[in-house]
Amino acid sequence: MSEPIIQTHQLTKQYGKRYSVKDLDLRVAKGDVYGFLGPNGAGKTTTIKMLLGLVQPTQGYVQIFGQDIQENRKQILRHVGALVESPTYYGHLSGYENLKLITQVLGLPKREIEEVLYIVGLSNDAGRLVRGYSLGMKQRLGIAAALLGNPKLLILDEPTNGLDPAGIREIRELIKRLAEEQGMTILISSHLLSEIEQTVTTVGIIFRGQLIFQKSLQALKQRAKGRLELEVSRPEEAKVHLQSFGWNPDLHGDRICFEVMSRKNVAQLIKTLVQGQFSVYGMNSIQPSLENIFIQLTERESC
Amino acid sequence: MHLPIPFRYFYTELLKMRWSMIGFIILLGVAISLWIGFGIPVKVNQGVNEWLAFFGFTVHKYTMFFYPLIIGIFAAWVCRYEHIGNGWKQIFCLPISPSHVYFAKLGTVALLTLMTQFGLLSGFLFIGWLSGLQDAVPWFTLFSKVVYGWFASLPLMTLMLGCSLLWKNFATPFTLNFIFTVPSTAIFSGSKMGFWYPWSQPFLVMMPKHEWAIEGTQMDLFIGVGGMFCLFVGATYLFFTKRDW
Repeated sequence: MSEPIIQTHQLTKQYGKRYSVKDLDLRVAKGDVYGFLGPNGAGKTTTIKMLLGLVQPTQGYVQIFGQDIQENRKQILRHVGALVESPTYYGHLSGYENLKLITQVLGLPKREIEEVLYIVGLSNDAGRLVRGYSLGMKQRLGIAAALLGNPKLLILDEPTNGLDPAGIREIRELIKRLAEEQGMTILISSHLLSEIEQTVTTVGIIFRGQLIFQKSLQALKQRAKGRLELEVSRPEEAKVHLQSFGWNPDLHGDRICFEVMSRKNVAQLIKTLVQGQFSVYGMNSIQPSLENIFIQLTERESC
Repeated sequence: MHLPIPFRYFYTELLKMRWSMIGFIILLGVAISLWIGFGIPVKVNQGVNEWLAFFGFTVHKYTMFFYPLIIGIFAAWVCRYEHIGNGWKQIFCLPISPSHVYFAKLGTVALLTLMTQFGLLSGFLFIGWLSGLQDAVPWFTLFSKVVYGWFASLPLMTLMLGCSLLWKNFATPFTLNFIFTVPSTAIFSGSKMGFWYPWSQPFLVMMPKHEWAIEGTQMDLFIGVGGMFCLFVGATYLFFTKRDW
């Protein structure tokens, strides 16, 4: 196992009596694209703010690059690019000037501004006032700002929030490229698994402030099983009929569901139904969806 | 380019400013003060330097009203861009500490205020020359009053900056400023308490000898201004560095 870039220990944030984040042990390895998932209000942003030292944890601590964020904040943040919540910008300045403010503080050469503008595809709009940017452009400007200084770790909080499908795809490809070409470690949060499913290597799921899953994307996918749905006449009777032939169907509403099976078995199944005088109106093969596991995981927790 | 980070950050504060607006505010404040100072027909007593007399008329309204107001505007201004859309968190994702940010903001307010003071002085000299004031120009007195006046407004700057950091609303520090200006004229300017009252301090320093303004030693002033400055910096600093973003 490679060295962890981010490691939190029993990280807890309490607001009044309510735990916003509780006993979180996050672990992001070097080179990971870590998808930090959870419904809105699960504690994603609070966690990210604690990672960056913007919010003090009630308990526990955060280590980034093996150093404590509270103690070595300034040294750590030199190598971290971050976009927290909605992007912030100075509307009365141009995109270029907004980035210049950051290079000025970090003491970076001006050409880095051109570079990051090119990476996020804003070169042509750099001279315009940010006030006139679309939400997607502002978001990309925020990412450009995070990229300044060639960080080793990139933390993006809901970078696809509020974007149209084309914008989401753009960001997704951008993140993929950064991870592959520059070898950056990236933590990206979202409330929609589908948005980042194609990008991430590791998934952490937070629900009501607690980490309920943290493994590779493959491990998550293995949990997801596809199923076969049949729409038939008299589903109750059909179920009993099928059971008498040794099938093991599930009834979901008026649909009969099966686990994924071979083509031969499917043919046999339909034959059995037809011979039993049931009409088959439709058949659906449901692909394994991470969205489903996500819902399963979070539902189990809430029960 | 390779100055330490706090100085580089301070420079970005200046880059963020909308200088046209700042220039407009300074010009307006100075113009109104001068208009009042020179516009009211008065007779200058014999033996009094005309420049000093008119400086008194001008500075009286200026320090009472416009100067605190302008300081309040500047203080709110330097926090405004961060309050819109919580730019604070983006700043604190950079490798700088809250104290850097605080002192950069305070430095900006102080710089703008100093510009206002010199704006007033140049305006005053110009209008004075236009209206053909007699007597020799008391350069040293005028100059030192302007600089001391700036120094004496440091507590007010820190206080207004603290309020602006605390409240997102542009109007709140503004209203407070307005409310606390009134007792300045009524009570504090005439008593030793004035040396401790941030809205009276610039007035007491900048006014030439006058029946409405109590006289004190430089020590009184220094202790009052220094004390209040430390108090406000300390309080704001504690609140500002400890909070979550």
